[in-house]
Amino acid sequence: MSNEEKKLELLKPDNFSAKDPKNPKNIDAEEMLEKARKKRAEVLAKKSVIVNGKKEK
Amino acid sequence: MINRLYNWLNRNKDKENIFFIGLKFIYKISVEWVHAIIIILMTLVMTDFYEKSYWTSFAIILIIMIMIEIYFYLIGNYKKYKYQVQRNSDLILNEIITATTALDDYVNSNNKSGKGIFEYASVLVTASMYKVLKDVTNCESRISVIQQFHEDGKKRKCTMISRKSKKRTSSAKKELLVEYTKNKNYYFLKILKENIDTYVFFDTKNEIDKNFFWRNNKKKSDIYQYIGLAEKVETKDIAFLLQIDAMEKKAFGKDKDELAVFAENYIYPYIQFLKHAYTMERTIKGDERNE
Repeated sequence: MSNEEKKLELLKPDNFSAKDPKNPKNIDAEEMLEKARKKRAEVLAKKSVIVNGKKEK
Repeated sequence: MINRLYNWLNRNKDKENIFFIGLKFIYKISVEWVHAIIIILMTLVMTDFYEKSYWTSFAIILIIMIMIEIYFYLIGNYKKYKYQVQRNSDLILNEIITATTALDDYVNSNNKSGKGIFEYASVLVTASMYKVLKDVTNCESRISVIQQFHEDGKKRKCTMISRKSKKRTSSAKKELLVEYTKNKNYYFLKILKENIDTYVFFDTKNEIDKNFFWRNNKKKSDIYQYIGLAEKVETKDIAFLLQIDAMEKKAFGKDKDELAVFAENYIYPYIQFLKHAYTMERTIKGDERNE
């Protein structure tokens, strides 16, 4: 199958077992989003900036 | 009417023609202190005309003053509108960054196999959009993502891979045949069947009741407005459909123009996120096949 043909192919939803922790249906999306929000806030808080060659807090 | 004017201005504000440059200049000088000085000067002139009984000039100045007041009222409202648009854009930007972070974590924890990326992205989108729309509209909504795929390389099938509403967060595992939908007459099947890859709006319950169950118009729906957007992602047929149902009247806008602005502001960024996840899953799986 050529690359062009591959592009035209539709993805099929994956099969997960009902108990698979990686099954998107078993993951609490709201909790994951909340974790990601906290993670981003922590990263932003820790990130220092270098302005004109000098490190700022 | 006024909102339509503001939407039009907002969409065209970056155009570089004389008309918009003129409007931008007037907008920039429309600050409170300029307003105050104009009114003071005109009041002085008007008092003078009144004392001298120049009634025609008095009337002209009065009309100009009223027009200036209307103008500053519109400018004031436009500034409020712009603030609202910026606040909401900021909200959406933060949500997309958050969803991207969560998706990255999933991809990395999944041995970068590509498995489930699009489905997980859909679950994130429905959860995030539900929260954002609740915040922006104060109304209940129902969000869902439907994925279309080929069975045995030929038959087109679809399945709802994620859904979020007040009552539940779930997805219907049932697979439906797109081509043969004798008993299943939901509008989304029409969108998939006819490969309608553009925004589909229904702005009133009446229109939904007339069209939504396209093969049985006696059936009634419980939704008041509908926005659907299907995407092809370089595919011949539609790859997925994002649906947003309003559970209350005029939740997304008063008419189709407002619905269009709403969709552009709140739905389009999520569509891009889903397209990105779809392409990522296909690329990773394609690379795996080639190895």
